[in-house]
Amino acid sequence: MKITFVDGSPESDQKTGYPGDLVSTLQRAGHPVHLFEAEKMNIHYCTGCWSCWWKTPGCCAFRDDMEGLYKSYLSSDLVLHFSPISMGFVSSRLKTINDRSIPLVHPYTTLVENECHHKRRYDRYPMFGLIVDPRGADSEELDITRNLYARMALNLKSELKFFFTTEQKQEELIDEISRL
Amino acid sequence: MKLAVFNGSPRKTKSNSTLLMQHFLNGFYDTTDHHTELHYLADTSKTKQHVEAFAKADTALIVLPLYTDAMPGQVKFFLEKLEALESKGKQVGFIIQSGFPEAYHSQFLERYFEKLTRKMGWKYLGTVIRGGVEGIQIMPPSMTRKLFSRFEEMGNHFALFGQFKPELVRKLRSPYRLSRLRRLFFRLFMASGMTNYYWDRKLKENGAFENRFAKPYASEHN
Repeated sequence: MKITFVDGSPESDQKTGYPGDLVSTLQRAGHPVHLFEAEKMNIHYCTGCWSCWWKTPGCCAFRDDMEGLYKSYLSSDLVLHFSPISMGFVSSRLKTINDRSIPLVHPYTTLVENECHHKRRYDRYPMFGLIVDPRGADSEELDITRNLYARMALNLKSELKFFFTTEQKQEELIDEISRL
Repeated sequence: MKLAVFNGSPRKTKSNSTLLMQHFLNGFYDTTDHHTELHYLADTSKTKQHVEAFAKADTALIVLPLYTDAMPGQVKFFLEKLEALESKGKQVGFIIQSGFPEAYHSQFLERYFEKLTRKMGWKYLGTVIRGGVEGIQIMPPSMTRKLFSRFEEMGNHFALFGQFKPELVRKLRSPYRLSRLRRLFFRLFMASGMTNYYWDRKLKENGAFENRFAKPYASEHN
């Protein structure tokens, strides 16, 4: 399974080596992985200009390192996001990457599960998985994070296939991926 | 009340959040000369000042648009900077607005804010949710009058009682989900192209209409 792995650890973060280990584990299990380290990427905040919807359809006004990520998303089967939890959610770097994902959908809206959602721009979207390092977050915070991510995936014409924490065994995650 | 308003819109002063807050603050100043400060969280170079303003205020309102189902990255960045601050006992309220017509989309973020408030030891003033906000800047006044007057009334009530008016919170949340009737209308509008009117107008203004279904990053998969 072709995987895009986004390590959303912030620059200031105490490195645990977990994301690197996991990428190696995934590769050993036979999955080609394209790793993106958010802290090393040049990514502008979304400014809500909507150039990507009504000026240059599908292209963001900022031609930065998101371009490589868009291409990688669209050629992957699965996108894995990793982040430590701070203030009850994933890092602001990772959230910014998600904000910048709107060029991948269309401004037009449609009904999905009786809700208003955006239409797809592409025929196929990758599945999503989220892995978090809880850093003391309680089960309620983890549940809220999982829900926010599932909603984000739904709006990205996809589905959050699993939610893992670093406290679980990596083998479980590999099993989960092999069952997708 | 020492109120600090934190506007989390990435569009800053030209945003729908700003427009709604202007009406809220008009109502607020109608009844009080309380000191308020207005901060734009998208000015991420000023985060230190934003944190200081939060520290000094006894009441904070965070107003923001829903971005990919949660808070914009700039707002999360600000929240992360509050982690180390001793801020127990502050009163904090939230206003979430979205382009999606139904409030339902924002309730996941509402739950996040409620939990965050508890965790930080703040006093939760509640969350106002308003959907269907995209396009209000180009709507004729007849379409926005009620919305703006509700925000004015909300600001007025907030100045007098230090909280959101429950009855207005309820009204602004409607529609919470799309009723069968609304879905029927939505389908009819969709079939007639009316749901796309706003986007088509902008696409045409920018000479991008013909290119609206572009797939610039497609791979062999798509």
